[in-house]
Amino acid sequence: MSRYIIGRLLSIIPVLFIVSFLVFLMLHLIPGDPVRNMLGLHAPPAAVEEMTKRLGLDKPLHIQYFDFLQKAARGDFGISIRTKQPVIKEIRDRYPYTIKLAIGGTIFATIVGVLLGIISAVNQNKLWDNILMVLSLLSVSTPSFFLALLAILFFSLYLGLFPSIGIQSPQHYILPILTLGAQSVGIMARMTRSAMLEVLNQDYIRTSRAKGMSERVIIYSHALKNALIPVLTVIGLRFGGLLAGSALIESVFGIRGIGRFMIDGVLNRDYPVVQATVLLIASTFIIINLIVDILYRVVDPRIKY
Amino acid sequence: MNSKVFRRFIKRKSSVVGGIIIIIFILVAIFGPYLTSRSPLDIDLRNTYQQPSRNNWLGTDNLGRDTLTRLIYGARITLIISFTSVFLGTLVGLVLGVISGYYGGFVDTVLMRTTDILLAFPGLLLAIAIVAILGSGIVNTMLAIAFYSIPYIARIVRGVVISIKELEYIQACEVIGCSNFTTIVSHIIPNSMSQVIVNTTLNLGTAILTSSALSFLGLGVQPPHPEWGAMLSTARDVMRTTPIAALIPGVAITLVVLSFSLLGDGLRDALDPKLKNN
Amino acid sequence: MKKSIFLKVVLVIAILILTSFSVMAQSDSAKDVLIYGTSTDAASLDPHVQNDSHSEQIVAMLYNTLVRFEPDGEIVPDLAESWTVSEDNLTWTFKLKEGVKFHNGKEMTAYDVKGTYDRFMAEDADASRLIAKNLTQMFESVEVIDDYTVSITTEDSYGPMLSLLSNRTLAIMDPDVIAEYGASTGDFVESSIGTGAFKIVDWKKDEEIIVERFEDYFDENAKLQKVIIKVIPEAASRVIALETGEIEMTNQFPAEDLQRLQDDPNITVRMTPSVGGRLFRFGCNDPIISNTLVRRAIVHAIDRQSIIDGMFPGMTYPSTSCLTPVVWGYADLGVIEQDLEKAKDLLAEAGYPNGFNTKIVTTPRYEKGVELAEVLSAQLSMVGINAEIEVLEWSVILPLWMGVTPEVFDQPMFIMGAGTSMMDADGGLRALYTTTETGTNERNYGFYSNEEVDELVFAAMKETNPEKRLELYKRAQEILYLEDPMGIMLFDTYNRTAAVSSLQGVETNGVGMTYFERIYFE
Repeated sequence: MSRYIIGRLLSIIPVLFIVSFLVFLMLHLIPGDPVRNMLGLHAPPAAVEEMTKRLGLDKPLHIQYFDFLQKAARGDFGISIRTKQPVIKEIRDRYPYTIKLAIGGTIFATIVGVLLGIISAVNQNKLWDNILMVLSLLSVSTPSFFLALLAILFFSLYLGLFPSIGIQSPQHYILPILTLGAQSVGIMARMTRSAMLEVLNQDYIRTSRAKGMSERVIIYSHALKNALIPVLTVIGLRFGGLLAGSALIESVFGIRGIGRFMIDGVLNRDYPVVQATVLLIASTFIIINLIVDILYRVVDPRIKY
Repeated sequence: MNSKVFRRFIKRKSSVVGGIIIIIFILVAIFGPYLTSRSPLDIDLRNTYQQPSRNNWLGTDNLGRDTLTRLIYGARITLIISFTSVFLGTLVGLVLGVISGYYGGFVDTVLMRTTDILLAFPGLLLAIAIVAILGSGIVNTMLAIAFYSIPYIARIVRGVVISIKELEYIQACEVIGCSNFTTIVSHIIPNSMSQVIVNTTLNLGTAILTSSALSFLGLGVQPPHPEWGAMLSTARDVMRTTPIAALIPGVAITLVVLSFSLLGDGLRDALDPKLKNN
Repeated sequence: MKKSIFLKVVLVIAILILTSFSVMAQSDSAKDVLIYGTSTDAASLDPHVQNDSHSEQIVAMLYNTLVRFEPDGEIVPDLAESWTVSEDNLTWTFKLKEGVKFHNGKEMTAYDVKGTYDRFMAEDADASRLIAKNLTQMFESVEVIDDYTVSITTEDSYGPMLSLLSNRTLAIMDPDVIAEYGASTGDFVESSIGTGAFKIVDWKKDEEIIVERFEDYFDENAKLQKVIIKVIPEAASRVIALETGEIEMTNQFPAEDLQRLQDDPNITVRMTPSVGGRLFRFGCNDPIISNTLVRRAIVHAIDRQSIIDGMFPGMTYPSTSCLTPVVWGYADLGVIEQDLEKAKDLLAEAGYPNGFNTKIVTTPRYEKGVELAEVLSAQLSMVGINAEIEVLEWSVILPLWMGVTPEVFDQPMFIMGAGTSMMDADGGLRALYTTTETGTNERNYGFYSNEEVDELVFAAMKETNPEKRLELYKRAQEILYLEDPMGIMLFDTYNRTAAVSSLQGVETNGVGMTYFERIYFE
């Protein structure tokens, strides 16, 4: 078991390297001279030269990459061109919001999604099942930003229930988390449903029924436990998806998170910010996947890689 | 094959509905602009944010432009972006999958590791990163979406190529000396077609979501082009007084994406019932 | 049965807890704390660098100038208590107030004034000081006479000196702070030290700035103890925030909400004439745009009234010159009506009977900046001019506007906000429209160059007779506005504030700066 964990840990190292290399390369893939892109075309040659030296852009590529890695390990991602603050400081300020949204969204999606999936599976092909399946398809097809606008329109402006903009109080988290999680609810429900269906048709379930166990006990203690395994993987994947999707939600709700910061960075050609945020989100994603992989193995030792 | 597939497909009403909506969408996108005399760029500042009326069936937007006309032209833009990018991605994916599966070895490992990484990533994040490098606009949006469509297809095709390589009669053929490559290629298409078709259809839906998300954020299609996501973004400011301006493009996007999902699901069941629980 | 009662109890408790949160949040804003909503964060709080009204307003809270404008346009003493002019009109001597403290406790002396001004007057002052340098190009030297007396000597006589010194760009800073922080002065709390009625205590980028009353302010202390400046980029959200009480005042709201805000009994809307106007400048380095006839054609192709009616009703009025009525030196030259025939004739005369292709560059930082570009493009297409639109963010477009060479500058038409912080035609015309010495665009972003305008503006700068100055400026405006247009003047704006009705003492001067130290809750 531990060998497996170590093996997986080692395997993500090359992945992280490749990702960091691609992110590092971003600056050089942009058409035009990176320094001129940052300072502006008008910059006097002396300033361009100085910045080039300061950023180490005159050194060979592999040395630049090494420097980039070293600095990234220390948390030095440079200075934001727009806010003039160290990028790492900006990230530290904003990361909590995004994490709270992603975690909240995942929890919400898991609870509601699994519940709906169970109801669907138990009522297979009957009315509830059909309704819920269409709803889940709908949740995946609706653009998250549209859903967010609808939520604001309905809950905030029309019903006056929840605040819409900003993130000052606990209530402010409700609508963003609901909208962020909504897309995943559909996926969770479908996953749970098909997993449950597979399990429910197994022999040992039929035996339990024959033995006379109540349906409820069968569903909740036997079927669910086994059905949850594939659901686990989806939770992990969705969390990563939520991290990226939070950019849209943060934009609509005016929340100062990492996603919004990345978008602003792209719009403002603030390349240090773009590099740092993309790298951070990507790395988080990879690590989450790793944890899910390991958990999966722990929960179901039958699975061999 | 065709009639059996067709009969299986028709059984699922939801997929049929999806298919019909897609056909309507394509027809509107291609022929719609010829049916309306107005231009989506016709500004009329004295009639901004009008409610639906006889003159403007769906009302007007922030600059007095007719929403219905913009919706129709927006369908065209959506069609072009999604179809071009996904087909481009599928094509490249096909080629890469064939190369990877056929040659195996180092090339295969490198390509597959890369697709592993790319597959794991949320498409929107990749698209944003690519737009960050290349800049905004229609062409770059298409390239960004094409890029993340590649891994799926590449994997599928590679799998098919590898399984074909194992087939006995291919190996027998080798002994005889017939051209391996063309044989394999001629076998790839029928064997992978169902998976590729299903995947491409679903990808089209995702492509629309991504391109509208990019335009919504200001990173995709630039003004004054009537892209549905961009239209949603401008409608944000007047949601209280004219909610319909936001509802129309949003519902349009949802409807088309939903239809692609339904269609894709139906195709999957019809083409290969064994894939049901995928 | 028991379970459902239990659930109900839990639900009630949950609701109580949630509502108590909101009550707690509101009781935070006691009646001497103002929450002010703005559309963007300040770009810089360095007086020499700031170049937009959002930054300028906060700079106005934190810094003082030697003299300042009152709401009615009168110039009164601020940091200087009195002044004299020499016989030859070349040297101005200011007697400074004593006991003025900076936020860090240091006392302000004449050395600080000299230190502040030397910074941008220096030969090697870097590009960001360009604005200040340009404004004061007639300054020859700033000398310390004694601890509380400083003199400014100009190359030629300079009539509008006092107006110039009221300009926020010439606020007095602490040279020690400048020396310590260099280029990052004004980028964060510690490096934004002034003498103003408020001092900055917190700055969360893109979120909020918190300023508190400076207890050692040399003049009457601010009535409010704290002002929280919140950044709410979406216009609709800002209005909602005002209506729900999340913010108590804002100076930017869309025209669509004007009526509703005015009708709301809990909200008071105030509008005052301002120096501000919206225009699209010409990049005269462009081969086609450099043709005077082309520019005149463009200027006549635009329907300004429909833009005002459709996009900014009740908050703007058509421009009648390249300056607004509150600026000293303004001449009413009438509204340029749309005349498509005339435009087409002029284009034909210029050699473009079938129009031409060009580009409009805009930024969303200006209210409805993107929509304005779209409208202009549509209106120009009616005379055959095909203008594509390029949208750039503020931090991308700003570096392109200062110190760029004509070969590099690629904005045939670009959005601009006019508004001289001097309230004098010298500020509104000289730096912006006279030919630059260096060949880069400095503050004449569009490379406009007209010999007669150069002569007139510089003559008016040195002229001390007000009558003669008015004449010179009138002629200059005729050229800039009509004969050899420097841009498409669209409309003049009102300074506007919308605040809860319990807020009193809200006064805004023509430049658009609100006197936050005078505001109080009833």
